[in-house]
Amino acid sequence: MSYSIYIADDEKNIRDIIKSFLERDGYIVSAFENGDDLMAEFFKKPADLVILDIMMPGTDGLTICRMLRERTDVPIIMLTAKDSEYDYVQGITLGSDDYLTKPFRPTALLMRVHALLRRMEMNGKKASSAAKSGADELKVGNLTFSHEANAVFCLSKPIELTQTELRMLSYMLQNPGKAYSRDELLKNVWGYESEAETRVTDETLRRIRRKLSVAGSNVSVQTIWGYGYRLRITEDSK
Amino acid sequence: MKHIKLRILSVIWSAIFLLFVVFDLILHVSLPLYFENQARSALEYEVNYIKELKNSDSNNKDEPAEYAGTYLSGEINFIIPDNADFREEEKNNGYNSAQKIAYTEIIDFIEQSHIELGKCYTVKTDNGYYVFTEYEDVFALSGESSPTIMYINIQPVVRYTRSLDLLLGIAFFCITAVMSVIGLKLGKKIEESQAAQSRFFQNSSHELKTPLMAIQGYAEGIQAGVIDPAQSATVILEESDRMTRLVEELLSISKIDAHRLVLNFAVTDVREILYDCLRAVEGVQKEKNIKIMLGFSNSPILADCDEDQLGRAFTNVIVNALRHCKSKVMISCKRRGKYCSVKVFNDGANISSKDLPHIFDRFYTGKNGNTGIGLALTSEIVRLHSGSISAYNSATGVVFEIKLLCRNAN
Repeated sequence: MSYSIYIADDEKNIRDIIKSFLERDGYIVSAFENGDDLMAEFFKKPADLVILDIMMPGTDGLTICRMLRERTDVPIIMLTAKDSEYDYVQGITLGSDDYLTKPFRPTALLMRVHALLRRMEMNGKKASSAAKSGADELKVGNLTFSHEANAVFCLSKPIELTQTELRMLSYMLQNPGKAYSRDELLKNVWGYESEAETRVTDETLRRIRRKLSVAGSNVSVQTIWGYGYRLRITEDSK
Repeated sequence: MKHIKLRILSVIWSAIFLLFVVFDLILHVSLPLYFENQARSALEYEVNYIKELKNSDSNNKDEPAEYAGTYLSGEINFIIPDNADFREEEKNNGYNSAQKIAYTEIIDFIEQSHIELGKCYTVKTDNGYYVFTEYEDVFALSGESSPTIMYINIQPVVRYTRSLDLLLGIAFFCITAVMSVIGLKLGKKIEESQAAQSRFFQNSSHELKTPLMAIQGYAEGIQAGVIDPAQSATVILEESDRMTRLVEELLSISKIDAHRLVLNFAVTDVREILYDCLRAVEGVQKEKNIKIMLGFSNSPILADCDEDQLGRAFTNVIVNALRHCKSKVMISCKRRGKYCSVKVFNDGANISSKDLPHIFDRFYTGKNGNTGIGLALTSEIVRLHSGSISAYNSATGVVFEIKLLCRNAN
């Protein structure tokens, strides 16, 4: 089965090269000059994944993302050229699953597309056992994961996480203190094992670690060099 | 801007000169005029007061209100010109020497010009600056009215203010000297900064054009079929990576220079930042097949830092170590008292004593000729974190040490 992907970017060269790479991997790609055209087409015929540039003429990428999110759960990847993450990370996490900063190698985008689609596939299969842990709420340190709200809270304030980050964190919260190998994380969160995609895992965990720190959580992501990661609860006296 | 030092000096001197001129005008013109007016007021008041006394006396009215003259009223002197007896007495103790001189000079003036009773006149001589008026005085001993002169000599006070002139001149001269020195130093700094900026732009331009040249060359090579496309593509990718890094570094350092770099501080485990850097340099490490040994503390090392920027700083140092080493790189991260010390050791050749003081300078090209901005950026970032960075040779290689203030670890 071939997945269909829609991409919107006002730069023709970028549209073309990304389309070429994706098509080579067997995806069916439609490229749009702006977000409005993409949305119009999406509501006629939905795609399996959407890639949006943020700075576009017409409605900007963040708004398109929000509008799409209101009506669908389609995985969305944002592309941005801004150099400071903190500037926009707030907006990006509103509904997007992942993001990439330009300039990026097309293969890096490819990795994320693979990983995202794989995870959606996995989640589809596991839909019935979504409440497998039984607990609707997980409490670790000053963090609370609410299955219903599909969000992680730090001292009752929600932490802005992309869907990818949320899946990763909630998975690790199920067994706090356990050391997870990267492969294990990859397999259970992405359902995929690949040398290249461990980079995606590393990147995601790095972002989670930073967001937890900024949110003032006493839970931190700790590297176990040469093996993987672990959540650590600190007795904080700030 | 050209000739900054000259412009700064001109501004300082013009300003001080103008001030001096203004002060001088006040001292030489305004003040004497002011005192003159005060003297006139005093004299006129006195004349009126006497008239009123005269009126109340002859008409049996109430005496006029209390005397309320100006502060110069106390300086009023009287001369009775036509009284011959008085003239004789002047030879005795009637007048002091100043009064005798005043008397002579005013009488001379009166004899030369026509003066009206009751009006104020000014006489300026070497000996005095007299403001005087002639009036009918009915309090003469003989009972007859006789014209009397009263005057105030404002020369002493005018002279005093004029002596301030010298003091003022000295003060202004000193101020000019001091301000000129300060201004020159400032001008020199501005000129140096401009020169540094100009050099920076030239160097940046050169550093960016170099990889661009390679990219263009190899791309055209593919087009023309003169070179193997796969090989070309590899070069193009490498060079564009190099450009990306350079652009990022240039942007960062420009922001730091313009004080526009926003740092997002958060309490972070420094070890984790180092782990991120290690992942980022895996490519270079594998390429050269280098062994990186880690000596990290077992407990978290917390510091207030901007992960992104500090990560960049560490990565530059680590990449530098990987480039210069023979086969081994060691990275330690330990707590030393209230500081966290990160040491990066490589077993390559020592840095020459000529290069060592300059390795953190911008665009200083060392032995291997790599773009010399990475370490400069590192040193700026460390400085913004209130930390310190140093490099020194050891028996077996080169060590870079970065120190940061620790937050209390738990």
